[in-house]
Amino acid sequence: MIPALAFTILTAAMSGAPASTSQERKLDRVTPRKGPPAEGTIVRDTWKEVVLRLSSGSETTFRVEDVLSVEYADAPDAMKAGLADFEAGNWEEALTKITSAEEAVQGKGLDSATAKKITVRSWFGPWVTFHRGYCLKELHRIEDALRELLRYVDGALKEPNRDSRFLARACEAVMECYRGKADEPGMAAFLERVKAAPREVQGKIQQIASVQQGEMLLSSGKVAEAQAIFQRLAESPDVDIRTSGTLGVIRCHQKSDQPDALVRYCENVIKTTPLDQPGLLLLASLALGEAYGNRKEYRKAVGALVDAIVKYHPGRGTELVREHERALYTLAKTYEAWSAESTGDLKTTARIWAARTWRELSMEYPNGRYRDEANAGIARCEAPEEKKP
Amino acid sequence: MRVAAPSLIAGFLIAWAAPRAAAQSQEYDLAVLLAERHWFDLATEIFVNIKKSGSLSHEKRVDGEFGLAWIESIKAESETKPEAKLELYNQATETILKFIETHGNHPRRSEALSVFGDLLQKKGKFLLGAGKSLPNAAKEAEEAFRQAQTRFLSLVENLKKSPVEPPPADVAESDPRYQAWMAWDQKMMTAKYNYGVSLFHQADAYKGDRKRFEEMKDLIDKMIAFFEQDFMWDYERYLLAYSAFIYMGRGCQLLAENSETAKAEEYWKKCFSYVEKPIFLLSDPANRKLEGVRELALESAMFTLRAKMAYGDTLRGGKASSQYQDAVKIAEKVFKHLPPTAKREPYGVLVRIEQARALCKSGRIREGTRNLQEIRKDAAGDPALGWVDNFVIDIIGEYAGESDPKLILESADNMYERGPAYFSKAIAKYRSALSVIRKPEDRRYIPHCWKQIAECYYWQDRWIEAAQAYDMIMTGYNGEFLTSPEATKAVVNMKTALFKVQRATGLPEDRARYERFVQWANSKFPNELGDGSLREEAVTLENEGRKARDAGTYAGQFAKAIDNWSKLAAKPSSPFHEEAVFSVAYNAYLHAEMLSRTARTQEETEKVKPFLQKTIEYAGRHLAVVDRMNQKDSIVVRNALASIYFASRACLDPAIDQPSKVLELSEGFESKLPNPDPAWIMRIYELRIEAHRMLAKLDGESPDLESIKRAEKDLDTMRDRYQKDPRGERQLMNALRNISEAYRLLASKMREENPGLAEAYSIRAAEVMFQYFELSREEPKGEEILAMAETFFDTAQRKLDQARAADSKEEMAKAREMFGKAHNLYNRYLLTGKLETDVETAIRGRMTDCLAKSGKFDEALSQLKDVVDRDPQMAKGGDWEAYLDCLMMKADSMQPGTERNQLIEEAKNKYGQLAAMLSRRIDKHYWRILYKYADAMFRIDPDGLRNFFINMEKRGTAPAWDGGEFEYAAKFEALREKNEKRLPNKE
Repeated sequence: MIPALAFTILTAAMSGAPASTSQERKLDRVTPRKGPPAEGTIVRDTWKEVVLRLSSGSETTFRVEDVLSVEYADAPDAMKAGLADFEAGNWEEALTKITSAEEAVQGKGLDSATAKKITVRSWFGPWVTFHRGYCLKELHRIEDALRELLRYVDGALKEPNRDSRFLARACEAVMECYRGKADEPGMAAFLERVKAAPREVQGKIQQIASVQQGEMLLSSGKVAEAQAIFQRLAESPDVDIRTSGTLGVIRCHQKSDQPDALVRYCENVIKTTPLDQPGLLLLASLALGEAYGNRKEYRKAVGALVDAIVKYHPGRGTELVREHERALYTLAKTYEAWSAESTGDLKTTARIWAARTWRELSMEYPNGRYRDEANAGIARCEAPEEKKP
Repeated sequence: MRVAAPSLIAGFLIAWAAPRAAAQSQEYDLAVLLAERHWFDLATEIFVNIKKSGSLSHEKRVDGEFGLAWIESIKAESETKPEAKLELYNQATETILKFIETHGNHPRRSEALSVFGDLLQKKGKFLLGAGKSLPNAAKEAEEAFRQAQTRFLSLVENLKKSPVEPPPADVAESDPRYQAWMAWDQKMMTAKYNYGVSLFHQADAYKGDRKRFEEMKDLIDKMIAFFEQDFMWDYERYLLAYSAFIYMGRGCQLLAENSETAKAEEYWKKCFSYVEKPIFLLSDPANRKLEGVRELALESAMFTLRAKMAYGDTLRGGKASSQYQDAVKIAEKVFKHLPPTAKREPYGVLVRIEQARALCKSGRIREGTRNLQEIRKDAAGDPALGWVDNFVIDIIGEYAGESDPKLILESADNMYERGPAYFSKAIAKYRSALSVIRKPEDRRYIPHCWKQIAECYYWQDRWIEAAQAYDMIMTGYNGEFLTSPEATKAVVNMKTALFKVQRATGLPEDRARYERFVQWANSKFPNELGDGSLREEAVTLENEGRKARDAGTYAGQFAKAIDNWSKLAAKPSSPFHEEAVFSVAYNAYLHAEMLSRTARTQEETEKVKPFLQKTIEYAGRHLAVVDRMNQKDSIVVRNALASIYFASRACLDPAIDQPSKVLELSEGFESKLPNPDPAWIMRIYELRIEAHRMLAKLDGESPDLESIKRAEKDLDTMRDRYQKDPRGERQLMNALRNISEAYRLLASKMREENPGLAEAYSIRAAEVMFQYFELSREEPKGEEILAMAETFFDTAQRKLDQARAADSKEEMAKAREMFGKAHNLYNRYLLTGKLETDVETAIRGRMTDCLAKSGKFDEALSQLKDVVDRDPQMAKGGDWEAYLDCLMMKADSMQPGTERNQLIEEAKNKYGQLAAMLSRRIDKHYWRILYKYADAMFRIDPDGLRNFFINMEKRGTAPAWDGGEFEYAAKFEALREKNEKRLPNKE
């Protein structure tokens, strides 16, 4: 038997886990959205494409919209750890580690025992700048964020054919900052600035600007105008823009309190969106479930929400994971409400479903924003015998 | 003044203070031993007797009361069910507290305080571990720790009030003054140590709760100050001091993890300065030999590695990495100083796991996961390390599974196997696996992931979720997986899930969906679904059959289930084929059993046989099916074992009477099936032994001894298995009883034909039966024990006679061992209850005899001398004879010399006196004693013996002696002849 002291065994925090094994691997890796990853040496990584030279000497080009992730073999450990935190939305930790990686490359902050020269390629600087800026934005340090992100954008605009893959995202982040500050002149000035971007990416940047515009209109109560913009964006061939547009339309429907229109819209999105876009499907199902729930059509609500949590998990490291968490929360509440309004066996069964969903929420998102509510839900809904292990 | 303590008193970590006081009665010690072996009833009885004894002082009687209170604490510690354990803890603390309050001045009060404090501490730790399974656990834990602190402090004060002066430095360790001081000092040390540790545990309970940081800090500061100022100086050379250092280090880590950066750095420094200290003990080779030191060093290493990694997590870049690398090196250094076996000890395994984690954290993932796989392999098959697998798989899944779906799946499947409490984690893992599947060859895992996700929901009765997950296999991915093996299994469960949904909700749309699905599924899976319904019905009938059986209303449900199963068994392509073939056999057996129970007439009895035959037939078929399977999962293996078992039972039924078939069915079964369940294995072996016994035909003219030998071989296998895994105890005991009985029968058969062999069988029967008694947890009835004791005694006596006749030291040793066993059994008999005086005397006499004959002469002589000293008139000849016989036995065991001769001289003289006493009535006792007198003389005084014979002749006693009535005439004459041959001729 293990000693009684094993009661206190804790699993150590996993946040330091490196994102890849490239420390032992000498090759860069490109993971596309579809298909297996490829390894080689990245020769170009821009707003447009990623070009990978394979060991055979031949080159493969990935369009940027087809790329899920890129990993550089010479990424320092701290950078890998920082990117892992970035993907998981641990902004504070990501910021610390990315900064630490930069210091390590610059030879700062190391004691003599571990000091050794770390050499990285040109990708490193822009990556640090972009990711640091993004973290700062998420941490609501807007001015610092703008400084970093604008530095990135300027750098990318200056040399768009190298290390500029995050250009569109950086522009979006900048615009979000301006929107957050309600700084319309700043936004306008920025949009002027980015006219220097390559023509091919202008379209995307404009669409991003439109998303931001729509958000601003929505925030200021101009729902119809916002909806028009979002509706247009929802038809974009770009997945990310399409997702933002769809989400925007959904929110417009929600804000204008048009449940029937909302339901119709969401059902249509679900019907027409392929399964390889789980993010969109998740958003639509969640909104549909909420709409049905508000109308007390519990069975339909449960159906939509179950689809959201079971079938449309957006995958690790995406921002939409928070929506998945919200879907679980909404489902648990819906089951509880259903139980409250039912009689007989269904009352008990739905309460059990609620209890189990609360428990799933508490276990899948133990540090999530609904932690306390999940624990309260468990206590409310679990029968005494269920509380035992 | 501090007495020079021996360097490093090992052991003596937190332990129960077994209540042995300086002057202990045998019964008290015996009761303590019994309780420690969990024979609570017997121990309780002895303590009750002590408590109620009229012949003991009040103080001694209270010892009994303390013993009873102490037993409660042992019971609590040994209980495994959480609710029952908590109740027992509460009961035990109440009882011991009552003792403390009632007997304030009793010498045992300190001990009671110590036990009370220990109880509270252990209760607190248990509650912390129980967590959500018990309501208010954390609060109760906190309260328990607080009370523990109060009690330990009270104990310290108590001890301070009655100090023991340290003896002078030149006093020997065996001196009572030294002993007394050591006992007091160690009580004080333990009380102080436990006080400090209880402060840590209370602080630990507040970990993670930011609102209680200040309280946590106060407790840890208090603990550190206490240990530094009030403990280390006095006890720095004891292992407990080093254990205290570990707690101090852990406390500092708690503070570091919850403080601002600058302050945290300070705490980390302190943490490492404390927690690593025990490791340095290993630098002294002398210390490395002590088990306590090795254990403590490993414990220290484990906590040091964890602290290093936690500290590293707070740092950046190279600094973080260097902490992880440090952790790796510390583990290497520790193992270098320890024997290889240390790596398999629980703490050793934990250190290896932490080292592997450190490797992964420092980026050496391949090395780290390789080490983890090795740890897993080393721990496989060792029940003591059963917890390792889950730990390791979790870490592997976390680090190496980032991009490897196979590793993530392994982790996910492992979680799934652990049951409902892990289903949510398993679902997250399966989703993880799905998100990293990119390569075409990995797509085969997709349906497995969805099926498992569905199963996790299904077994939580979340049928709506389960149905959606199953649907991903049916209709997702553009139908890519519709023909996968998972789909054929999923379709049945999905149908059930939808059925349950519509039954739960009662909504028409759910009903419609169910019907649509059934229609669709019937077209896509005509065999499976059709088969699935058949299977469902069969399973329902089986379940109904069981319920009816238990309720006494059985109406042939098992037989009806056979019909369904038979249809599936006839379809080799059905996914349920293997299950069906087994189930026909199984249900046939169940039905036969039911028929047998209720059969009243011959006609009814005859109806049983065909079902037993069916069992055997289908079991054979099932085993053939399993044999052909490339992959045998745990359910298939279990079914195969069950087939062998039930078919064997059928074969052994008198209606079938085919014991050889049992051996055929079970031949080499362990090697044919992967990871067979130990409990089933033991059941099968039990039946094999029964089969051997039947084949031996013990009632017949010529029993087959080889069959019994084969039975013994299987028994050996059972015993070996039992050593490794305690399951199957009942089967082992049945087997022991069976074989003992077989030998007994053989002995009885051989008695006339071959007495020597019969004797050997008798002895073997007794030996095997003794193993049964030793194993038995149930206390046998008194008469059973007495019968066993007598059997052993008789057998031992016969063995002794044989040994003497053959002058065989080896046989003598065996005889002694048997007397020893007989002694134990007589002793157990004495403890069973109040006996009549003469019976008790007789038993005690037997026990003394056993002692003497098992070679424990001094002990026996001491007891016998007590008796004979009270009878100088030799009124109780039997007691005197036993004493003198014992003297002679002791003398016989000695080397020739003065001491030996002195003993024989004493015995001879007393035999003579006794014979003189008995000469008033010449009977067998007289002749026997007279002969022993002569025999004693023979050994030391041949001339004297010659004169004895001459005198006996003159008196007319010799050469007739007893006239042969008691067979002593021949013995005397033979002795005379032997003596004459030794002596020179007298003119």
